[in-house]
Amino acid sequence: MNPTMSEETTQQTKDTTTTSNPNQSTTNSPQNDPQIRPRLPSRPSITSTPLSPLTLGTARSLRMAAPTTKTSFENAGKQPTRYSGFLDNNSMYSSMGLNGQSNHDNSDMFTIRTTPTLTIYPAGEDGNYNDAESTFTDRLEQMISRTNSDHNQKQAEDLFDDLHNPVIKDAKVFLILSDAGKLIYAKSSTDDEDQEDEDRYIGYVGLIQTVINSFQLDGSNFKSLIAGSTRLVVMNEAPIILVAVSKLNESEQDLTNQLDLLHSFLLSTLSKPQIIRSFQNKHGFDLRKHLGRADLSGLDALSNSLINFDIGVLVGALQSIRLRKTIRSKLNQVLLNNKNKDILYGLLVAPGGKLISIMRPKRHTLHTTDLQVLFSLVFNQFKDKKNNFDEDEELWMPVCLSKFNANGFLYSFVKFVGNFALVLIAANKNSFFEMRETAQNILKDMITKDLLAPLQEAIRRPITTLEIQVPLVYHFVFKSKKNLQYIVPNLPNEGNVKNLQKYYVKLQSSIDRTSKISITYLKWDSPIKSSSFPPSNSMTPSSSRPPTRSQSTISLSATLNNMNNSDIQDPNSISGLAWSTPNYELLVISSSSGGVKKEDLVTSARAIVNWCRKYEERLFVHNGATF
Amino acid sequence: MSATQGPRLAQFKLVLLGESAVGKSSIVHRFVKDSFDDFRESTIGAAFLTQTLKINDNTSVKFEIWDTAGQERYKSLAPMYYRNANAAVVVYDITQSASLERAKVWIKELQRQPNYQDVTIALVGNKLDLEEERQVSEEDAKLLAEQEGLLFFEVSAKSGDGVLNIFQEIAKKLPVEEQLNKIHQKSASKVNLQRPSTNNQTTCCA
Repeated sequence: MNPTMSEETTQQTKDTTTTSNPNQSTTNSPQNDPQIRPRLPSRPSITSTPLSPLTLGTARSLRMAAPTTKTSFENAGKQPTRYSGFLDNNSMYSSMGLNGQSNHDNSDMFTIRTTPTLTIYPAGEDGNYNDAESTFTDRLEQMISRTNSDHNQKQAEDLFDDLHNPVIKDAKVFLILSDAGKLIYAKSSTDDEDQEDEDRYIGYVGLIQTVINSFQLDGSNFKSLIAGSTRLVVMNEAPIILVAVSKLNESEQDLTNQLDLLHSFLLSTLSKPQIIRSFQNKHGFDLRKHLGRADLSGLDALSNSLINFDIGVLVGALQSIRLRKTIRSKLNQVLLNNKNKDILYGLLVAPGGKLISIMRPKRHTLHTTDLQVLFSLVFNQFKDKKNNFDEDEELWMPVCLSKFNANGFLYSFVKFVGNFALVLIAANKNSFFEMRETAQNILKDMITKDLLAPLQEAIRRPITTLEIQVPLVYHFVFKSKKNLQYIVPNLPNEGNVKNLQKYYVKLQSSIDRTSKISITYLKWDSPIKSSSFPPSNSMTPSSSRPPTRSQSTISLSATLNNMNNSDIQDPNSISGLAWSTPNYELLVISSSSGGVKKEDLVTSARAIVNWCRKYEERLFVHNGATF
Repeated sequence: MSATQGPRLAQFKLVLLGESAVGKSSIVHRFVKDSFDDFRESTIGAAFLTQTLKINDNTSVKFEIWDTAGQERYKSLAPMYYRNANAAVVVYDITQSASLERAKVWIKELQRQPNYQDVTIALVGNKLDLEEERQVSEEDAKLLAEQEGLLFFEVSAKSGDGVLNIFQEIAKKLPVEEQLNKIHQKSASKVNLQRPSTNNQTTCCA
């Protein structure tokens, strides 16, 4: 588990999608194309604890009490050799054909055919993989038999059905529960007015808790599971457990990052000690008692932004506002001139959490996740129904920035000025009036130094691909790794960034984190439906069809498809490039109707990189105002 | 933000207390901006607002208002907001009898303060527009207010009925002249013409 994921690890993540998605484990070898870098199965490097997906046999049949009930498990892809005796390719592929199925139309009621991939991580530093492997099946059987001792066979089957049913309905679900199995919060991509998410998922919670506990009995952590096109990721932050279920082809790391953000948000209002204390005496404590309307509305806002695709969370960075260097340095000067002794951090931020300027101690930076949480709180709190920001009000919000210190609260003074917010963070809860005076002085200086107008203008003026002169490029994300900030151009014709999610998710996960420089080219050149990429907004099972061999190509020249895409006119022409170096990360999506060749896209990408480097000091907040 | 010579301005600190969702923020926003938002976000921590009320031809009262979060979790922060308050508005929801019980607890807490005698307290029943859902009778609440020596109002932040009246009546009870005399004495030795409206703790709440 990963409670203290650092900024570095946020970037250096390893995606295991390819290796664990059975659809992609077929023929078309990428090695034929020297330009393409195959993604090797490797373990996620997200914590200091060595983690390794366990090999449990490529396909296993696990007998449940009824002979017709079959669940096969596939490992995360390492070496199937050890369990070659268990290999049953026919059954594997036949169930693969139905994966993403989970629809009951083509399976009889008593058969569950899925190819879930279980990744188990030993809890200890040097966990014994072999032991974990050999006991895995036993444990699952125990779990099922335990279940059976309480319920009848039919109910055991229902439990496994439950595992798949909700993910059929919803493209994405977040669940927060206590480790005693009490549902604390649920949010799905489906907006069902008749039924609250909590009610729909309450039955699901017991199963997850049973699975997690079953693994913990043996000192292992249950982390993720793939069932067809659905990935389930668990983050165990005992006494809190967070769960993400996604059909959007996000990697385990993507979802873990999202859960980490939700967890940080929960901590921001409650802090770690308060959560622990709540559960200390009463294991079955209902944490919802501590969550007020503000917290739930904040969780809703954050979950919705994650469901609707948040580029910043995907790339682990904050968006920055472009400003002339002279304006930046004048702003910094104004901040520093007015600094008072109680200020820890000062931030100027535009709606959407776009960073304008930061004032900070020389040796301390704030963690991206902390800032994402803070900005989410600030903008959600201030918004009225017309999405105007209230300038008459000044807030004094206690907030626990959990990466900074999960055990205590800081106090944020927040004031809106036109289209941006000034946030001053202090440790002293009694320093509101000092902060307020400082804020007034800062704003006065900004006016006298003529900074307000250019700043407000800069916030309104987006970056466009036109000014970089890359006509082939539809959209891009450029992340400066040093500054942990990114820029994106505005979308033409009011396009919706959500439509680009599947491309960006795939591009981002295609980066080879093991090498310094990684360039991958992806082409989505066919409208063929593939069960591995279900339409995010569709809930009809008919849209996911079994892929044929030729379609389920290996990831890189992968046939990603299924666009329903209003943003990009021609679904036959989407190509993308992911380019990562130690200094930056660039994701490009191209839009030419004839399809864009890799060489041409590389040329465009180089133009973007050159442009971004040329204007680096305009585009990103470098050190900010340090003291 | 400019210096004032003729008109006299007294500043007072006012705090709103009460259970979550009784409409504290809505009352403040009706008073400060004469607006109402059905979907107002629940307050985190506290919000600080100011509004100036003219009480006669050359005298105005500037209220510095702490709109606190009603949620139980923020209870421990409340003393910071009411400690130096000149006035407190304790709000309950006339459609929720439990909210009056919570209001009583707040009143008791205020009465334990050493400067309690100097604090003007108003008990305010909000959501008068939901008369048909009323759970707290006007008589009961009024009786409570009389027993405790509080001002009493029933208002609707949604329609605006009675909201301004709360602050006007409170202003009448505040020691305006006393404060203005103090300021006058002080200004002889020290005056800040540039930022008279900057909150100065020594003038209003020390």
